[in-house]
Amino acid sequence: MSTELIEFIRYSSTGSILIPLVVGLVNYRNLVKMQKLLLFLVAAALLADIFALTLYKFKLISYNIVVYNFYTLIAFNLLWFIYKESIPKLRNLATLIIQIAINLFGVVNFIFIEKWNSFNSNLMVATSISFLFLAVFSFRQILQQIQYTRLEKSPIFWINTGVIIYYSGTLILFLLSNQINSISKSANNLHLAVWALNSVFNIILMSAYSFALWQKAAK
Amino acid sequence: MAESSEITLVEVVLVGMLGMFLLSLGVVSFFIVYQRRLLRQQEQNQKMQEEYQQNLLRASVESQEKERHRIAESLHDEIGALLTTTTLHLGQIKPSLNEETLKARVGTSVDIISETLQSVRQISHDLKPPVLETLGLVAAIRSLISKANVSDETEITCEGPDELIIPSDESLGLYRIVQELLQNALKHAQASQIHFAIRQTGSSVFIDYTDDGVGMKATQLNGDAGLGLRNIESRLNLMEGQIEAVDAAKGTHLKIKTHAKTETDD
Repeated sequence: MSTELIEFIRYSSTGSILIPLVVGLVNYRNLVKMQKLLLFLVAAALLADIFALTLYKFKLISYNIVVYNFYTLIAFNLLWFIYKESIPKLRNLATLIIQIAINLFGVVNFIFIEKWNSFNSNLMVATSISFLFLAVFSFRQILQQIQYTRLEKSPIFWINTGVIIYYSGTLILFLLSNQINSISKSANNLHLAVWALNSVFNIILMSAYSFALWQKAAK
Repeated sequence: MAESSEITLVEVVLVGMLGMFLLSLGVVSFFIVYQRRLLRQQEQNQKMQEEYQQNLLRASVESQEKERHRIAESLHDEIGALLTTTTLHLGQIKPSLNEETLKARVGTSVDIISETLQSVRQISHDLKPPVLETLGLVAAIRSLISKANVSDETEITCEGPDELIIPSDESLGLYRIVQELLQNALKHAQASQIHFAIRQTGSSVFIDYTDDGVGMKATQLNGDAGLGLRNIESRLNLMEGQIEAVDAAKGTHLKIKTHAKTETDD
């Protein structure tokens, strides 16, 4: 896989974040609270990506990784708030404890375990697994509704679809990310293909978020 | 060697990522297909429910029209005819008539007017039996049964408490239901014995109907029930009631239950 193609996919992934942002801003008047939180998440993703890319261009790679580590925690909390807003059953003490525990783990991991200047794969894996549970739980709740509606009209369906595809597709990558990143260039840039695939999944995630922000949810 | 193990690691990760991607697509696809099936079932159930409600409404309207037609016929054929005859007789009363003829004409007119009054009372009783208001549902049913018990071929009985604490509109509804059941039975059941058992528990009234006639299957209540049965269902719907056909070895066994509000609640 050529470096140019990988670069193209990488920039396309950043560019794809603009689509849900524009859709959300155009449809802003019709957005409910859950969709507004999603819009904040998308805006945070765009800012993090631009910031990280800028730092990468200036060869400040360590700081580039710090941006992603912070973004992981912000995205985790925003996505949890989105699911709690959408599913009343999740608004309880147990989920609050889990949310606080993962936040604390993230801080401890950042300072003591994997340190600030390396990719915090432990936190990525923990948050990915929590998102997958939330998405599957949310699908189950949709099936247990008394009154069924057209799926394509439901923002949470699109969010679930994006979350399941992205976070299950990248789970193994995040688990072994530090080993992948330490691979020498003699591996024919194949290791970069892995990150390119991550970018492709990100484009799918952003497309799903776009559909979620386009829907007029029941208030 | 290190390079080959690095390539293997990357390949494992790539295959793993693609595998998980396909698995997640499978999960989402399964969910979509399953939810669509549930949605289709729900839409079918809603359609059936709407059709059922429309059928009940149609039965109610048909029943009302039939009743109006019957009243119109009674008014025209009985009251109209009697009043026409009275008009003719009274029209023939002239000052030139002798006393005997005059007395005869007046007497005939009075007889016809009495007969007219009798017919009006009968029509009025059919519309709303006064015994229902004065003595209650069970007494009204007993009165209805006594009028129907004219033939030796069918014995009709009723057991129940002397007093039921239910609102008057539901009392009338239940009376009509019993009337409908009785008419149905006398027309179609070919029964030698018909029995009504009435009781009240709390705010619910239970009517147990049994006969030893040709019978009616439980499926008839759910399927193409005749106008009479649909009419009964329609009335029970208003009282949040239900009717259940119990499969009997011989004849028909129906159980009717209402959730009648007590008058003391008002």
